[in-house]
Amino acid sequence: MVRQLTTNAYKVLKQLEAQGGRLGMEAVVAQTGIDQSQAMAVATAFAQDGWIEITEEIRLELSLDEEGAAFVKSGASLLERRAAEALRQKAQPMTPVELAEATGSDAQAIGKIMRYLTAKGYAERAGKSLVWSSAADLDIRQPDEILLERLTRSSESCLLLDASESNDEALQEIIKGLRSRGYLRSKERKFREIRLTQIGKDVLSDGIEERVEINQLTEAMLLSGAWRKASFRSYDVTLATAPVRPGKMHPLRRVLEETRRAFLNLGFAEIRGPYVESAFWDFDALFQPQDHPAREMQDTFYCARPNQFELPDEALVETIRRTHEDGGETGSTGWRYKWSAQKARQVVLRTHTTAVTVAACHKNPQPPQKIFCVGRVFRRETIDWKHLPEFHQVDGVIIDKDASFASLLGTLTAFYKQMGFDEVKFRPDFFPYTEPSVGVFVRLPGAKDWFELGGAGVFRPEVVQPAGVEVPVLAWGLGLERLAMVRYQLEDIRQLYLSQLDWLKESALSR
Amino acid sequence: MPVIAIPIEELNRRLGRDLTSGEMEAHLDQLGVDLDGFSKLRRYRCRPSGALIELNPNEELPPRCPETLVEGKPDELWEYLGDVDVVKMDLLPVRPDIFDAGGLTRAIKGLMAVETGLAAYPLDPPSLEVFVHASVESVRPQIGCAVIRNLQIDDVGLRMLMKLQENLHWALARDRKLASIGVYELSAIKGPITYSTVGREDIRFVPLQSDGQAVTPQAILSHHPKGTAYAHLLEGHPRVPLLIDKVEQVLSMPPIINSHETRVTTETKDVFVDVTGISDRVVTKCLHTLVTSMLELFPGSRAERVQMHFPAMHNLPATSVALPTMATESFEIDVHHACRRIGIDLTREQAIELLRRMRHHAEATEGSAHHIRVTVAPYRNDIMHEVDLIEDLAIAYGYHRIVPVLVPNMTVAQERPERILANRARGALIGLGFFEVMSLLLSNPEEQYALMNVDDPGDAVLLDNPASVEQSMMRTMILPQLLRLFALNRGQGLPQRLFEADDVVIFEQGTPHPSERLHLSGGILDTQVGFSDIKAITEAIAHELGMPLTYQPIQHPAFLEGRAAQLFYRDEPVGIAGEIHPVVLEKLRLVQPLAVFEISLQPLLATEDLYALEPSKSHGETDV
Repeated sequence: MVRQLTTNAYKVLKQLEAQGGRLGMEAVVAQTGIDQSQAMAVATAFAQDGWIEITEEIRLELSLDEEGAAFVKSGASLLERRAAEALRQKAQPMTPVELAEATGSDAQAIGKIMRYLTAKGYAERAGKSLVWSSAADLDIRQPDEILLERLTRSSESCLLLDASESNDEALQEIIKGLRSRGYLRSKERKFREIRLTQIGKDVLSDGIEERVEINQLTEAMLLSGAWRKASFRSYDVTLATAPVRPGKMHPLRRVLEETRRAFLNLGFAEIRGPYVESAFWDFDALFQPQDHPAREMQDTFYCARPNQFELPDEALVETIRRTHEDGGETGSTGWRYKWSAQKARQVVLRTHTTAVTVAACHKNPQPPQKIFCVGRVFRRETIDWKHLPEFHQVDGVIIDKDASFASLLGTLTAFYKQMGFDEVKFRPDFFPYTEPSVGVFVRLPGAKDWFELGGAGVFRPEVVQPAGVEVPVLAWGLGLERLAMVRYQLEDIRQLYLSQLDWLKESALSR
Repeated sequence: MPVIAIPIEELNRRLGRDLTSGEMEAHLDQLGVDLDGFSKLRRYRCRPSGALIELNPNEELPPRCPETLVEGKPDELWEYLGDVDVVKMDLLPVRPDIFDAGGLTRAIKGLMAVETGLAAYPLDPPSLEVFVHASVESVRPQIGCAVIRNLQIDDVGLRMLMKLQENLHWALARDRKLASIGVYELSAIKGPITYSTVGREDIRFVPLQSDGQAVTPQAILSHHPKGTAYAHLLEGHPRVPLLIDKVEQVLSMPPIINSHETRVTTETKDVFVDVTGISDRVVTKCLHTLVTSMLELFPGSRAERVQMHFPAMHNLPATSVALPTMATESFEIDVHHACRRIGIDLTREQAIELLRRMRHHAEATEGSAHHIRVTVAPYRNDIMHEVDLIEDLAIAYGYHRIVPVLVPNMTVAQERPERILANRARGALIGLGFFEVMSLLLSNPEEQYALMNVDDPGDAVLLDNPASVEQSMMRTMILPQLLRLFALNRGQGLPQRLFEADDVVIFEQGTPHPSERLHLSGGILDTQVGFSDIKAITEAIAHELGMPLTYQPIQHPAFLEGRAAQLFYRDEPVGIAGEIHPVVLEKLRLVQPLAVFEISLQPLLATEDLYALEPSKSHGETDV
């Protein structure tokens, strides 16, 4: 049976046959013109079919190093030989200094070759001096000298040892010595040889022929029908391709969108509110006293333009004033201070999206309502690895006659479950506008550390009664950058806003 | 938030049993306290002054005693006394009553049901008088005082007392602004005491932590470490507050420093304490918290009222009153309402027991089947309303025992139209191979105007107190920040296609509120890219969003002339597209052409009240 082979396979097998069934891979490449990796792929395939055997041997390639090149150029002999000559002539002990003088070198160089003088049997130690060894024969050339001569004589700039020499331990020791003296460099090279097996010979005697292969199916081939006679070159399907990434949403946006989706899934209506807000809605409507530290210039951005907003209708402002001062109609003691309308008119960049949800309570006090808002908030911070002057929050409220602190915990549990956090922990926390209040912690599956992601609670009567709400209002404000950092395991919050393309490309949609 | 360390042996001794770290953690968790961990502190005594300090194992010995400012070689100055096991926790501003070993023990005893209900603090009748002079009204008008006897302070106790003062200053008194505390050796004082003011150069006394020289108030405010730290609290007042006794011995200059002669030492048995300040409420709470915590800290001690004589001040007539009043406040709780608010089921008896564990007095209200009368301890600063006690009830019950549920009533989800639009725009650009970027809404004129070679049109929201020059205004365009991000991504491969879809804020003169507008901005950086490439993108957006655009040439200093267009939608300008001018590219150190666009999507959104919420329809649920 005549076998059809690909062009490369055909060429390799034919060349192997022509060279008597035995050929080094380098010769294969040189003689067939097929490139190294393709030739190797063919050989590997043949070997798997048992047509050929591949043998591999390691051979050492030696070349002159800096010292060695200088040595060859000078035509001198090794320093220990010159020192031995000097010892023989002197015929009595010589100190290293004397040896240096006699050989025209220096004491340091002599110090370095002392051990060769003794190792090669040229000399023996006599205290600090050396003396000629009577058994020595300077006519015998030492193995390292022989090796250096071979290297010098070699027509190439390097000397390739054969396999047996390469594995000769004594020779390896000598090479190591010369290498450490800076005379030569050595490198291991792998040599492969292929040899036809009996099966291979049978294949050849059955006969082989070359099959024409094509890389790419073309329109012309399809139009002419030429594809019917063509065979297509196989791909190595395991080879890597250049990386390609789809355009995608920013990782933080994905967290924001999942957050929106989670609350929409739970039947919440989405709202929004202004970034630039009066202190009235950001603080006063939330029963945050006007001397509360969070309201100080140090923590909150106040605006120079615009610097004042109109307050809502007078009746509401009056209700809020009284609530702050003495509790008004709410049954509270109030904060017992003099409330200032001027402070409430100040313009701030909202410090929390609770400013949005509390305003929504005033607009839509009738239950049942489930409302949420995802948006940016601003805190007066300078940028570092832990802080940004703005970040995203999700705030939500539930206005419902059946709402309770337990249903607040249930809603937050349901939200975080949708976000992939099965473990949620609640602990008392304290906010001026909720009672009871709770801190919310989550933990990644299998992780040890809890992360606090926000606060929640039941709005105080001082907050909801002025809005005209008669039923419990559950409220929460959760930080989303923190959640994104837990999700993407980021240490530095700034990374979220640097939008490094590598990071955008590599952060997979599945994360 | 400051971290405090409480010696565990002090807690255990007062509790009368050894808590495991697990039990301790559980109690703190139940109270909502952030546990920082358990560790050892190294305790040293300052040899010259006898003051005690506690250091973390890795902290170096200071060359100066922080309490007395005595200096010396650390090795000679300090005597090592041994290690002490402490529990470390974050100071919780709403509960300053639990941040000393005494107060915390009181709370934990309640949680463990070892001791419940209101702790009793009997007060002896006054033997000391304080006269308040009307001149304090404009500087630091409020004052409250007490005497505590039979303290038997050792050096550990002295340190705990000092820490208690520090913590109250931080948590209640806003770093001495609203109130400040002084504690004095009673035997060094000859009553009656006067609280008055004095000219800044008119008296001399030896302050604590000094070299023993008598100096003037002005010298203290200018040179003493405590003086310079708190001088701002007396700024603008030519006369400063002063407590002085019958024989003109100065007690202190509130809120700065006490005198050396009246200092408390390990020999001290009886003390006089004062709290002065500008807030009546805070001064009272500070005094009550201080006195009750001291009585807890020093078992066997007794408190005694001080007879205060106030002049006519604050539009009130002159009056004489014995302080501290230790007045308690009472609230009425409806158990049904409380249980509904929390979402648990309790009998009135159970609720009473839980409230007592929070160290309130609680009893059934006569004539009602489900009301409780609760009396709140004078040291609690955070009870303003029935709901605050409902929270205490929930805390005593344990948050972990509350079963999470969902509200039963149906509501319908509803998305904001601008979010839907923004996501549609994102979808289009992502489909075109763009990567979304995100930048801050805060920007600066350098970026918004100088980078773009344009003048400030005066339509931006400006901050009054920026924290950095980088963030001093709200952006009116996304594009400048997008250009910055291209510059940041220099060398991260080509082509680069980036976009951002988010808000800008514009404040037009004469309008009451700034308007927030949804913008979309994108760009392509490549070895070859031009106007037609970016117009192809804006046309794709126009098609996908149903926003047919027309184009007119425009000259803009950030764009190459003849290669930029203004975009119009329904004859209104909505944006710009074109090739960025090499002058701008050079500023950004970009070496490839960059074609960009920015479009306002706001015209696609209805212009009615942006923040209105359609009331969601309830389904089958009408009785409200």
